[in-house]
Amino acid sequence: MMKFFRQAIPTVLFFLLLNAAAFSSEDIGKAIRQENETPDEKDVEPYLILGKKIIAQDPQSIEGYKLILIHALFTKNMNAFLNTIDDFKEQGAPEPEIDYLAADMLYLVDYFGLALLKLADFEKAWREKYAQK
Amino acid sequence: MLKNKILPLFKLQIVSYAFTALLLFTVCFFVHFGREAHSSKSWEYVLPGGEDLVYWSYGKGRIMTPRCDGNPFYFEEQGTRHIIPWTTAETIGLISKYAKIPFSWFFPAWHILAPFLTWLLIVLCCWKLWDYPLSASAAITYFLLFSTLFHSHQMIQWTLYRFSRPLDGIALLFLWISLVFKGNRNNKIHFCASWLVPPIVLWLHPYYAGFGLWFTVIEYVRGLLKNKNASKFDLRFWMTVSTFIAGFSFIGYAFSGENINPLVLFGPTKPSFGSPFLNLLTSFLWLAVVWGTVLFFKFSFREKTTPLDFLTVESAIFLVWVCWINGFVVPKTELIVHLHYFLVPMIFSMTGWVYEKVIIFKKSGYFSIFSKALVFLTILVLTLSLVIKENLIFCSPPYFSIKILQYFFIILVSVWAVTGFDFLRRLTTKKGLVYGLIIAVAVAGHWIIPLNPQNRDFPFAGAFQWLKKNAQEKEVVLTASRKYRFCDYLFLKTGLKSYYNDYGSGNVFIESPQAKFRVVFYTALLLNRVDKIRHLEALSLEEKIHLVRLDYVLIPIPSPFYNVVTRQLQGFLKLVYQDKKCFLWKVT
Repeated sequence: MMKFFRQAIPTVLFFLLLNAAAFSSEDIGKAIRQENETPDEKDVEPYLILGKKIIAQDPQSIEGYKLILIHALFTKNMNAFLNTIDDFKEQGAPEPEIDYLAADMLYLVDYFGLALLKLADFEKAWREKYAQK
Repeated sequence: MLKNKILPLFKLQIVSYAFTALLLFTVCFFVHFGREAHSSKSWEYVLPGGEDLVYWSYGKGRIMTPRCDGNPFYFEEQGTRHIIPWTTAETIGLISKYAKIPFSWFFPAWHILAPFLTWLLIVLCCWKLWDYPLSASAAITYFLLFSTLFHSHQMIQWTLYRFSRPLDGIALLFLWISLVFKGNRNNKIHFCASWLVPPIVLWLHPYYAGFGLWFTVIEYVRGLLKNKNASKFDLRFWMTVSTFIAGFSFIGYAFSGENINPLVLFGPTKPSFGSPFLNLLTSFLWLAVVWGTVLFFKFSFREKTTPLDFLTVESAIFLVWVCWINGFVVPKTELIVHLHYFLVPMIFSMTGWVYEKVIIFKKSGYFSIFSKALVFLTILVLTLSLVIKENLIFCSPPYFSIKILQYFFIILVSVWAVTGFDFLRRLTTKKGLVYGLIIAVAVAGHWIIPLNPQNRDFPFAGAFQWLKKNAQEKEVVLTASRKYRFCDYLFLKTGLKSYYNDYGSGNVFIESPQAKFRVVFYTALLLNRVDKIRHLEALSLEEKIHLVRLDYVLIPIPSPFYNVVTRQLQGFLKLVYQDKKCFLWKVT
């Protein structure tokens, strides 16, 4: 039964994402917290695939990055999550928005310390981009 | 008086050296902090980093009523102190209180006098206890202390800057170790020092006490094993006794009162300190180099093992022991982070040791072979650096033992060059040249120290003036900015408390419901989510705002958080101060 739900929830989420390509962050946080067990890699693979597809078409799409970050959060590997953000920046992801998005997602899954760190990155990037002009 | 008593003192070489050193360290203070003041546009906001702010705040927290040096930043944690005292900071606070000296005056005093006294005590040890010439001791001490300013590892680079550790303990530890190896039981000054130094070091710097005790006990036992007729109550015995007595008083302090365990001591190791296995392996590599050299000289040159041999081998074993404990017995402690504290005593002993060995080579017929081997090694290292595109001599690896090896290499080449080439040796005897070089190294070192970015055009100076005049004692200010998370000067300059501060949240109270709410509310405020804090949906905004004390909100201009903060707290904020750099609201 649990296995069914573990597979069903991501599948439903995936179809919702396919339709809207946008998903409220609150619901993502809720879904992650309600999962008692870490889902299998293959269950969350669709987020990664879809996210990569969106970014390939539009490297500035924050929605695409959001999907890949959801995948990283579902796998519950914080190092991977943080490394992914650094990789995004190197690939030209929109800054400082990407840091704010990451902070928001971390807040939703109760990683407050990391969320504050990302907010610091966000403010730094924001100052470099807007304040010093 | 001046002509008859003071001026003749300057004929003494040590007095003239000391006076010159005091002038030099004063110049160095103005070189670096003048740049900071220029950057922050005020001499009020020139602290070199966030950790300095914390330790100065502990000093100020000690003199507040009730004392709050445990966590000076939070209103709810008044009346607490640290389980391990920050003795220097607290002592400065108490001196300021009882001598009625403004607390801020201690800042320049510390940054001039602490490096000066460190230099002076090390010079006296080298001169009086280790029997090196005074002029050489003075010059080498300058160079080795200033060499830390050029190090690529940030914590080592701050050795002469950080308040208050490790600078408050370096010279005393050096004196302790010098007494262990060179002290004389029949000398009254040495005997008194052997009783006084270990307790002072322990209270100032517990890490250093462990290091000092290590040598004391090993040398005491070694002395007894070597000579069974030797007195059992020598200097090292009394040093061990005084350390243990001080240890009991320290434990008594730690387990009484309202204490805080700072997470900084027991928190998880940061990944930048490398793998425990490689840490241990590299420390074994350093031990192999040292021990191999000692054995080589013992058996090839029939040289007696010297105190410097024992000192260098024992410190290498200490390094292995720390890496083993940190990696495999009590893993993930911060002990490994503080290894850089031991760098200065280690490079001093290493310099003496290398000099001793190179001189033996010089006197033997093998100096040219040694020179060729060293030149070959240098070429090898430089070639390897070019091939792998990494400066192997000056890079900053995470492993402390590699840093020691890098220092060893630089010291070895320097000593070899000065010993082997007559023209270089002659240059070291030209006073003007040596003075000029010392001044150049000192000024360059203090010039290249990076400025604190949080000081640049510091935005809250006006708001702090307003708060000092108008705020009630111990009111709480929320600074809606992550830029100043480590260095907001709020408590230090106004005595007011923070709503959230990264250092304030680094202690055991972080698990209390209040502390957890503080973090959640602060993060939610900056992320525009105050109305949807999980589990607190039933509370009104007013109830959330006042769950933990909050009196003011401060924000720099410009700020990415201005809109989210004002929109969410609309109706609860009354603007009380505004200038070109910040807004300050009273929370109603």
